[in-house]
Amino acid sequence: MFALFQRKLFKNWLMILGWGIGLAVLGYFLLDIYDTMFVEDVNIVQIMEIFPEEVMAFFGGSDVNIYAPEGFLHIEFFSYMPIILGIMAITSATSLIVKKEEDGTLELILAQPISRTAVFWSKLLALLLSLILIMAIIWCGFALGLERVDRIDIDLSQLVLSLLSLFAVLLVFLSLALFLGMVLPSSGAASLVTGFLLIASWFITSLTPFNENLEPINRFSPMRFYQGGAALAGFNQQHFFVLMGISLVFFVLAWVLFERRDLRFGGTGWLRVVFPKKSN
Amino acid sequence: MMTETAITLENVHKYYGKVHALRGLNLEVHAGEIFGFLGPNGAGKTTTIRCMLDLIRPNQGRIKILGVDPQKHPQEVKQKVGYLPGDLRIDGDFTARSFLKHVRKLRKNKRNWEDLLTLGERIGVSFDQRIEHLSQGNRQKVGFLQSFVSEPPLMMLDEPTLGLDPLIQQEVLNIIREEANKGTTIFFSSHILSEVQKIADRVGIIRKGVLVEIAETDELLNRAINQATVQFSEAVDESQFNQLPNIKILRINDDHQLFTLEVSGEMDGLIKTLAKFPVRDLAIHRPSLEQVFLKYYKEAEED
Repeated sequence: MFALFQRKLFKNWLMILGWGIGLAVLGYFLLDIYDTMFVEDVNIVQIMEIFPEEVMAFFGGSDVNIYAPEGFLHIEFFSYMPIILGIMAITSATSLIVKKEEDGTLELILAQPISRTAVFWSKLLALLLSLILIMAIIWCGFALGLERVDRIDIDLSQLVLSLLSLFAVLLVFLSLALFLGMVLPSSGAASLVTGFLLIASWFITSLTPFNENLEPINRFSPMRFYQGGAALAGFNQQHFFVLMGISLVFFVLAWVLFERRDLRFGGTGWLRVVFPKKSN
Repeated sequence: MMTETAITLENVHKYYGKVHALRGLNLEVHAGEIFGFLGPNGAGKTTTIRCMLDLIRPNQGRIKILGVDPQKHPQEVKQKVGYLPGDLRIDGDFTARSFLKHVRKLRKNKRNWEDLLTLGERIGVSFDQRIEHLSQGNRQKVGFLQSFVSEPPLMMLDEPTLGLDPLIQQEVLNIIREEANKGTTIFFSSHILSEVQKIADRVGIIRKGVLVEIAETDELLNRAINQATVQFSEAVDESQFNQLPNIKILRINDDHQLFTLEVSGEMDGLIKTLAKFPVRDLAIHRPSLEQVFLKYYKEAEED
């Protein structure tokens, strides 16, 4: 099991460094903007008022105080991170098992004396650790940035909570993609549907304050439990555990389906929806 | 003495949606033998192997591999089986060496590393080139070699010589024979019937998910129809041959001196009849396994 975990983690190193350093650099320089707002005395609120409320909703809503550190970080970073990192998480999830079945490389691994459970969880844990490492690198970017700016005062342990909220919402879509990969005809279909649900969830939660009719749908939107920058001012544990709980359900469902179903092979029926069959 | 059984399949059915891939397959492979599993594309060879390794699950029937049910104890079965898939795919970023090391980590009862390298050298494996840069034949060599990473009592090789040049094919067959001599059971499928004929102790022929024939390779060949060409010194009346129960006249040339006959079963009647005539030359053509195989398929198509 450890060999598979190690291999998956090793294969992810480029993804970890690429996404981690890229977003850490973004965080590092973002803090400059906060300082600049005060030094140049730029009235950001006036600038923001130019935009319609519906547009501002996608960045946390017009009631978010950009002069407060948590508001600033939410608007400039955490509001759109679920989309950016979400796409990465979704494609990584569908590549984890289903893509490997489609390209045929999983057959030889599963022919070795290692259980499907071990294959599933060792690969998944490696992916989750990769995601955690990306978050850790992002945190380092912010930590280094905070060293050289004066006006923004953020407790780095509180920043961990914002990243934790981001991690939890990413986990929901990652687990959903993994689950859909087990029931939909292909990894591409699973990525497409989960990507659509991610963007739909983001839109619905963002627009619900302006349209009450969306409220019944918003109840099912995972994004409503996402805090982002707001976690700096107070971490909502309940929301965090709801997201973690949803993820756990999808992970377990994906695992059970993978345990019970046939391995897919090109040309042997993988294009059909796969329902588990009981063997005699 | 009772023969030990390495593989048992009883009434195995497998559906892919509406496609009935295995239709009550029954098969028994003895421990220590080389068993050739023959059939054209889509006959169910690969499906059978995948069911035996629990990569896919049969909808009905019973499978035992070295006495173990692969659906109930898949890891135990896989520990005892070295497997080469028919459609071999390996992550391209591995080299042969790193891939073999990776597979070794997943297995117990590991073969000595130096022995493995020696086997690889015999078939010309490029150990340090990335898999993605290897030709299909060279990838096949790596796949074949990985099935030898441990020392399992049973090997399932799906088209082991696929894409290999004739010299390497021969070496692969030599290695399989050496492994069998150590007591390993070899179950292999192939399209190249001449190689099955060369090394298989027994042969099973599968057609549309059903085993249509299973026999010792020699017995299968002996049981098959022979062709006899007889050259007489003078013209001969064919009526003598028409009366023989297991003889069919295929051709007679104009001077009635050259006969081509089809002989099924015993030759005794033919030889005794020929003794009554002045025979200048007699040639018996033994069919190859390929002809036997084609016969089964032609008969099946006619049904």
